[in-house]
Amino acid sequence: MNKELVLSAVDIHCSYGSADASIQVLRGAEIEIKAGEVVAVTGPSGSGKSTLLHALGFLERPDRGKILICGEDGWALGGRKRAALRNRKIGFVFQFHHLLEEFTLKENVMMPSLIAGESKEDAAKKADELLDRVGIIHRASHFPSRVSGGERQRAAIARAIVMKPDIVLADEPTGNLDSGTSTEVEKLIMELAEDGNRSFLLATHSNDLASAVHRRFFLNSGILTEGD
Amino acid sequence: MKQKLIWALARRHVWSDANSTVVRIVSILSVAGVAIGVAALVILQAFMGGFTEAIASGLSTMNPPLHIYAPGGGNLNDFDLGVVQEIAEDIPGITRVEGILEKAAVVSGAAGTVSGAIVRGTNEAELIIGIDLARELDIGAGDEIRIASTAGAEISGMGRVLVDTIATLVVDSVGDFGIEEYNNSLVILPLHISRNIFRAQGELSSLGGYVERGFDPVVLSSMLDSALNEEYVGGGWPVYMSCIPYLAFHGNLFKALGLERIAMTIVLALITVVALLNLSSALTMIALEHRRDVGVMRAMGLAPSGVFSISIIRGFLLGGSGALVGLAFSWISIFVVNRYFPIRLDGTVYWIDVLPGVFPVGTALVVTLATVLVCLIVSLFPAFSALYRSPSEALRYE
Ligand SMILES: Nc1ncnc2c1ncn2[C@@H]1O[C@H](COP(=O)(O)OP(=O)(O)OP(=O)(O)O)[C@@H](O)[C@H]1O
Ligand SMILES: [Mg+2]
Repeated sequence: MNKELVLSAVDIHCSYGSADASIQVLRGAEIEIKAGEVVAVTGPSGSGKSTLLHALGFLERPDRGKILICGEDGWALGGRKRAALRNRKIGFVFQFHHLLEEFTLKENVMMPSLIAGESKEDAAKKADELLDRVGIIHRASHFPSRVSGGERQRAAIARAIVMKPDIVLADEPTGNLDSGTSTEVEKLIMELAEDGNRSFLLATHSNDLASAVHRRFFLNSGILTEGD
Repeated sequence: MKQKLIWALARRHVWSDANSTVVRIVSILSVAGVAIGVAALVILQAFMGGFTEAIASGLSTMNPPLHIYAPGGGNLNDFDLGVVQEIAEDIPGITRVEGILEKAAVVSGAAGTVSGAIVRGTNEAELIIGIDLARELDIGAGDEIRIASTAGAEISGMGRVLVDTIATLVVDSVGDFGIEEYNNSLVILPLHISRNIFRAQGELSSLGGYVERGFDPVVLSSMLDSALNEEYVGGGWPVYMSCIPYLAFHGNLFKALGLERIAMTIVLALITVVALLNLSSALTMIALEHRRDVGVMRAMGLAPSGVFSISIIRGFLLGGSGALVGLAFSWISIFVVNRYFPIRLDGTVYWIDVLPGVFPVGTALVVTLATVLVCLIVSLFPAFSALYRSPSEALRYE
């Protein structure tokens, strides 16, 4: 196995619904991502980008296919170990920030560390560093509903990388932001990818973001193809 | 740390500055519902139990717990007393047996006052008169009363004649016997005086047995009764004595009170059931509100067991705080009612004139534990449905 390979997925099939009325969303998707690579997936709305990211992050069990993250097959593990794998190796950023509304931005960023069992002090220290890094340390003690969309998404990104994951799966991280803010967030993502030698898989509609990445995939009618 | 985190998550889900209004409202309502249910049950038990207890203790302070009598209504005498004392010596728990001579008489006090009374001769050294009777006769400690009896009979040259006796006695003290019936009719005095008044030397109307603390009078009474039975009937004697626990005279009253208490408990338990149904819908609502959050937590690596625990703890927190609030509320209201707004009863109807609330520790414990247990059970449904939902599905929930 190639050590450089952070993510490899072979022949992923996903469908929704019951046997008689099922929608086939992914039909044999294959993708490989190396350490430090930033990869984009584009495709029309409803083409299955979110489904692909959920499957790759072991959030949605595919009907068929094999997914390895850092060589580990999450679906072959028990629930607890799979959860630990998500915690340590994978970061998620969602289209609608999905911050926990009842927790401050800082607490949100601390959450993955706390889940990992780290002490509150360590978690707080790491959260402060990252909030500073993404430029919203002055908003640390605010609840998500009291900050702007761009600040929320920055917090969500900080939360996704706090465990220093090998790969960040970001589902339209700029999909809900105005163009100015989205440019800033895109810039932040590219910087974070570079200075952490961290892989990113971005599902996006944004041409700017798609053109800035190392490799591009296109998803249509359940088929994932590389190139533009 | 992890357990702490899960508790913190559950706590914020049910109560936080940043909760949605819906969550706040359903949380408050469900806690209030459970609190009302628990408080209703505890307060009911406090006052119904207090009522029963007050009557029972009023009856028992005035009467020896074991009542020994001659079935058929015949009188007893000093010899019988000796026999019972001897038998009782072999029964551990019975401290002593004494003779009582109790009869009706007419009592007059200050000029122009007169009243019927029960005159009870016991081993008491003083003359004590019931507080209401004293008021009626317009007398106090140190005043004189006259007791007139027509119960005496004497054999003289003219045959058997009824003799009136009028005794003038000094009241040593005025007593509150706890129960209206005693307060307005009872005069307690030394046995030998009552024997003089009623001209009944050597006679006793009943015997009273006293019980050591911690012993059950019902058990001791049946032991003494069977021992008496053996002595008399077994020994071929024609006369015999029986023993019953004093409170058994009022058995029907206590049964009726108990029945009423059960009926009201069932009604109020239904309130608690409704409160718990409300709690279960609140938990479902809170679970819906946080479905996506749970998906996010799982994406961040929260194990399935954590998801399950969060749901259960939410139920525990709401139900537990409801029970605590209910307990606190009932304790405070019982205290305040007893202290500042005692419930006055008509003593002629209820025997006691103040209804005492006694915080029912046992009931409170049982109600609290049962409530919390049911809360945990109602949390199981949302807990399992959260457990079996895929994180992806939870994340897509809007
Ligand atoms: N739980 C579900 N049950 C049935 N169908 C679903 C479910 N979730 C998603 N789908 C369908 O699967 C398809 C792919 O959805 P997905 O969210 O992955 O698309 P997407 O590319 O992320 O779209 P968008 O760009 O709008 O986010 C859509 O047709 C959607 O309707
Ligand atoms: Mg999507």
